[in-house]
Amino acid sequence: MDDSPALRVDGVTVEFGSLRAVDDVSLACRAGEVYALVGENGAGKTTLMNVIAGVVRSTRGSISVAGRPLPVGDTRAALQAGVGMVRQHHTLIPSRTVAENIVLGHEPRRGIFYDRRRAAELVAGLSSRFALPIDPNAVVADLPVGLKQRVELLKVLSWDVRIVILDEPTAVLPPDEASRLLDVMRGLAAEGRTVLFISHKLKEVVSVSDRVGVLRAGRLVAESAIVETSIPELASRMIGEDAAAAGAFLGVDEGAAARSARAGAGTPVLAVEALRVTDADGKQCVDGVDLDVAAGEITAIVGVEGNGQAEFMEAIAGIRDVASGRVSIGGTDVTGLDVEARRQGYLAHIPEDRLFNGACVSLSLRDNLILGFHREPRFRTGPFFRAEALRAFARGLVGAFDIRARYLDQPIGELSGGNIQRAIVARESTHDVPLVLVAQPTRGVDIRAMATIHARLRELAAAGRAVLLVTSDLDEALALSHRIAVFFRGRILLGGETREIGRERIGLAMSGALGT
Amino acid sequence: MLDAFLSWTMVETGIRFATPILLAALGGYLCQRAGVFNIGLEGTMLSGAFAAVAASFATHSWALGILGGVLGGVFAAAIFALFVVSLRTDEIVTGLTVNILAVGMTTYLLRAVFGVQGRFASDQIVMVPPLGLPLDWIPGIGSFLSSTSILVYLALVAAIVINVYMRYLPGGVRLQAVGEAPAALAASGLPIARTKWLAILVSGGLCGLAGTYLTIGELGQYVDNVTAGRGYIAIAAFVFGGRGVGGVVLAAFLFGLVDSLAIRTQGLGLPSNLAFTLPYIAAIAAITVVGARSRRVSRA
Amino acid sequence: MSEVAAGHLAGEPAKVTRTRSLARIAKEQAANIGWIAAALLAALLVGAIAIRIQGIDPLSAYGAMATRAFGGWRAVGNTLKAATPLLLTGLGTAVVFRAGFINVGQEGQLYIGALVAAIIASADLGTPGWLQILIAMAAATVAGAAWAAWPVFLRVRFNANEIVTTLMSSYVAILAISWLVNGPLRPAGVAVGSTAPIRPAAHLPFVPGTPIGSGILIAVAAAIIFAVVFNRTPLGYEWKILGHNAHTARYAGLRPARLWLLAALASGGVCALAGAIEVLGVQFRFVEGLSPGLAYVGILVALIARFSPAGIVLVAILFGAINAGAIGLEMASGVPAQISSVIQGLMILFVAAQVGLRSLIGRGPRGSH
Repeated sequence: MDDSPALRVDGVTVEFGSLRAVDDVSLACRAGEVYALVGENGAGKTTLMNVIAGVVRSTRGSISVAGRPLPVGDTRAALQAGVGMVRQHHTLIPSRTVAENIVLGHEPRRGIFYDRRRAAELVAGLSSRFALPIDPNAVVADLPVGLKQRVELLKVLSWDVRIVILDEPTAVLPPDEASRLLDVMRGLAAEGRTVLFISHKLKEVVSVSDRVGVLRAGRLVAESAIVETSIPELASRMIGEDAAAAGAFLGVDEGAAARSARAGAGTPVLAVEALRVTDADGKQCVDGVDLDVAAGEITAIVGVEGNGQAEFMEAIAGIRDVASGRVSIGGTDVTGLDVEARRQGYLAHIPEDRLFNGACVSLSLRDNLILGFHREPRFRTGPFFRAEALRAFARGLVGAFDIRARYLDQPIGELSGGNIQRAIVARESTHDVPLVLVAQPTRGVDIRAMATIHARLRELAAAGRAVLLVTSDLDEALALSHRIAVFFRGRILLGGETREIGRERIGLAMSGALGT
Repeated sequence: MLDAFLSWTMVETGIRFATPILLAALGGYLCQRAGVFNIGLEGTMLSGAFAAVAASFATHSWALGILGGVLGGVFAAAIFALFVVSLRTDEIVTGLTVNILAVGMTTYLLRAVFGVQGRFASDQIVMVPPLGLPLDWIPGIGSFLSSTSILVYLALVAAIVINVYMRYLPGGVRLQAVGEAPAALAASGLPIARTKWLAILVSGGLCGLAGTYLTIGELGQYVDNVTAGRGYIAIAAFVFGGRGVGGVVLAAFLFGLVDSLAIRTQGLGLPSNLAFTLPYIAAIAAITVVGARSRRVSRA
Repeated sequence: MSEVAAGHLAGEPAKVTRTRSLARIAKEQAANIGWIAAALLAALLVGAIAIRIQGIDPLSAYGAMATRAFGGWRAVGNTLKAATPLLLTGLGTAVVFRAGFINVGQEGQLYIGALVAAIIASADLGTPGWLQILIAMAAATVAGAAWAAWPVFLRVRFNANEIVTTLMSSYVAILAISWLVNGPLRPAGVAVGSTAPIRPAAHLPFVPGTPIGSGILIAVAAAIIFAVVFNRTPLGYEWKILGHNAHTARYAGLRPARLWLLAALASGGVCALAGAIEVLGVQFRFVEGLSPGLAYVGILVALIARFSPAGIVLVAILFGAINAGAIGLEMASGVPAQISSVIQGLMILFVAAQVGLRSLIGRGPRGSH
C-alpha cells in the first residue's frame, strides 16, 4: 500500500454566480477514519460533499482517491472510483422494490434482460455482509423512514465504495436507531473504509468521529482530532463568535428558562377530543388523540416523522378531513369549518415546508406578507386595494422582524431560508387569533433566524396565545415548550410537563419502546 | 337492432380507429413515464401525417412514406424536447405551441409545396398495403385480419416491444425512475435529460406512425387538420390506461370502439356531427373517472 | 447559504424604497418588450427564408405585408378587426392561467358566443338595434361563461384534468354547433352550414367617421377592466396566489373552487364576447368554420404577453397586423397567407426559449440548493 491518503481534497472552490459557496478547502482523510464535518446551515458542507461525490462541479481544485484524481462533476465516475454519498433527501424510487433500488445503474442482466432474481440475491448478500437486515423484495414505499435510509446506505455500499459520505444521516431517526447507525459507521471504518459525515448534532459528532472539520462561510476554519476539542469550542468555531454567545444561540441552556407550570390554567384555547384521521390509503394516521393547549402555553409535539403529527396539525388547521372526533378553539366547535373559516378569528398557521406551503417563491415579499390580511377593510377603498396602506403594513413587518431584503418587491424566493421563514413567522404571528400552529419552524434556517423565531414564539405565549408546535428537533422542543406530547403511530404515547419528563423517556417513547 | 352494434364490422372499424390513437397514446405513455406530460401529441401526429403524404408522393414508395411520417413526427418531437428538456420551458405551453405551429406549418406547406388548399389528393400517393397474413380461414374477423394495413400490426408490435422494455429491461426501470424519482437516477450517475429526450423522440416516431396511418394508411390523401383531435383523445387514452401498457392498449381500443359506434349511430339516423361528439365526451368521462380514482388514492 | 448571504446583504440594509421597485419594474418591462421584439425578428427571419425559398424577395414581401396592415385607415381598420378576437381570447386565457386553471377551451367558448349572438341578432325582437346588440352580447357572454363552468366542477369534484376536459369541450361544442347550423338552424336554400343573417340594425357600428369597427373599443375596455381586477383588487391578488402556489393558497384559507369558477366564468364570457363581435361586426351571421383557430392564437397572445392585459393589447394588435398583412402578402406575391401562423407559432417558441435561456443564464446561487 502506498501512503497517499484515502481521500484528498485539494483547494476546492465552488462558485454559484457571485456567491462563493466553498472557498479553497483542502483536507485529507485516511482509510479507517470517521471524519465529521460541521458548520451552520449554508456554510457549504453539503456543497463540498457534493463536489467529492461528483454531483456538483467545482470551480477550482481537485479531488483524488487513493492517489488517483477524480473527474470533476461525474457521479458515476465517483461511484466507480469508490466514492458514494447517502444524501439528506431520499433518492429512492417509491414504487420499486428494495433490490431494484439498490442495483439501479448497475443492474445484473441475463442477455439484454433484467435479472431480478440475481438482483435480489446480490442485495441479500450485501445485507448480511454489512449486518443491515432488509427484505430485498419489499416495496420501498411501504418501508418506515429508518429502513429507507438503510436502503440508501446499501445502495451506496453496493458499488463497493471505499469512501462513504453521509449527509445528516441521523436527522430523521429516533434516538435508538440513530445510535445503531453510528455503530454501523464505526464498523465501516473498522473495515478500512473512510466515513465522512455531516451533522448538526455535536454530541453525536463527538461520540463517533475521529476527526472533525468546521466549515464557516465556505472556508475550513478549524480541523482537529476529536479528543482535542469540545462541544462549546466547535459551536463557537461554527458561528465565529465567542463560546458564550454560542451557548446562548444554541440554546445550550436547555430548560434553563424558568417556566411557570401551566400559564393559563382554566379553559383551554385548543381542545381536541378523540381525533381520528384517515390517510389516503385508508390507514388511521391519527388514532384517537386528546389534547388541550391553554392560553399562554407552548405545547410541543415530538416524534419520529410519519407518526401522524403532520396529519394532526393539518386536521386542526382544517386542511385535512377528520374521520371522527372534535376540534374546538376558544370554546367553539370548529370541526365542521373549512380553512378559511378557521382562519377568520381562530387560528394562524406556520406550516411545515415553507417553500411548498408557506410562500409563493416567485412573488414579491410584499405579496407574501399581506396574505390573509388582504381582505381587511383597512386595506381597501371600496373594492380596490389601498396600495400605500398595504406597502406600509408590509414595511412594518419587515422592520419589526428584521427581514433582510433589498426591497419590498423582491421575489421572496431570492431571500435566504432564514429570511423567508422570518417573513412567514411575521405574517402568521401578526394575525389576531387565539391559537398559533407551528410546524418545524427552524428547519434549515441559520442560527440567528432561529433565535429570532424562538424569541417570537415565546413572546406569543407570553402575550396569552396558545401555541402548538410540531418539531423533530428534540432540543427545540425542550427549550421552548411548557408541555410535551410524544406521538407514536398516531397516538400520544407520552405526555406531560416538559420540566418533569426526562429526555431519556422521551427518546424511548419516540421509538415506541415505552408503554403508557 | 342489437346486431347492428355487436357485429364484427364494428370491432374491425374499432380496431382501425384505435390504431392511430394507440400509437400516439403509447408515445404519450412513454413520455409520461419519463415525467413529461406531452400534450403536443396532436401536432406531432399532424406533422407526421403531412410528411408521410409528401414522402409517399415524392418517392412513390409506401415504405419511404412510412419513414417520412416517422421522421416528420420525430422532427416535431425534437422541437418539443429541445424546449422542454434542454431549455426547460413549460411543457404545457410548449405542447400547445407545437400543436398550433403544426397546424400553421402544414397548412402553409400544403399551399407552398403542393399549391392546394384544404386537401391534397393524387394518384401518385402510394398507400401502405395490407400485411396479407393468410388468416382468411378465421371466422368472422379473418378477412379483416388478412386485409388490414401493415400499420395496424406495427402498432401491436410497438405495444408489445414497449411492454417488454418497460417490464423486463433495465432501461425500462430507469425510464420510469426519471418520472417518479429523478434524484434516484442522479444519485446513481445516470443521465436524466438524455432519457427524457429518448422518450420524447420515440413518442415522436410513434405519433408519426399514427399520422402516417391516417393519411397513407386509410385516406390515401392529406386533409387539413386530418388528426382532428385524435392526439388529445390519445392523451385521455394513456391517462385512462394507467401504469401498464396493457391498460393503454385497452383504453385505445375502447376509444376506437366509441368512434366506430359513432359511425354506427349515424347509420341509425343520428346526425353525423352530433354522433362525432361521442369520442370526445367519452374522453371527458374517462378523464373524470381517472381523476376521481386518483383523488381517492392520493387525497391529501 | 445563510451566512454567506448575510454577509452579502450586510452592505445593503433593509432599505425598502419605492423608487427602487419602480426602476426594477421599468427594467423588467423593457426587457420583456426587448425579448418580444427579438422573438419577432427571429420569427420574421425564419419566415424570410421560407419566402426566399419560394423565389420571392422577402423584403418586398414584408413591405406588402406592412402596407396591408398599416397603410391607411382602412388597413388599420382591418388590422384592428383581426386583433379584436385575439385580444379578447387572450384575456380569456390570462384570467384562467393566472389562477392556475389551465383552461384551453377558448375556441369552443368563442363558437358558443358567436352562435348565441347570431341567433339573437337575427331574430325580430321588436327592440331598437342598439338594444338588440347589447342583448346579443350579454346573452353570448352568459352562455360562454356557463359553458366554461362545468370543467371547473369536474376538476374540483372529481379531480379531472382540466387541460384534457377543456380541449375536448371545444370539439364537443364545435361539432354540436355544426350539427345545429346544418340542421335545425339552417335557413332554407343555403348550402353551407350557417344561421340566418343578422338584422342590419344589429350590425356593430363603426367608430364614427372611421372605417374602424367598434369591437376593438369593447376589447380594449375589457382589457382595462381585467387589468384593474388583476392588479387592484383582492380577487386578482387571490388568483395570483392560487396560480403561483396552490398549496400556499390552501394553507392560507383561499377557496380554489370559488376562485377557479370565477376565473372560468370570466374566461368563458370574454371569449364568447369575441365570438359575438365576430358575428355582429365582421361576418353578420354565423357561418360554419367561422373561426380558423382564432382562440388558439389568442392563447399564444396571452402567453407571449405573460398574461398582462396591456401586453395582450399590444401583442394582439401585432398579431392582428400579421394576419391582416398576410392577405396583402398573398395578393402581392403569392406567398400563402398561412405564413402568418408560422410566424406567430415561431414567435411563441422564441419567446419561450428566451424564458428558458434566461433561467439557464441566470442560474445563480439558488440553482444549487
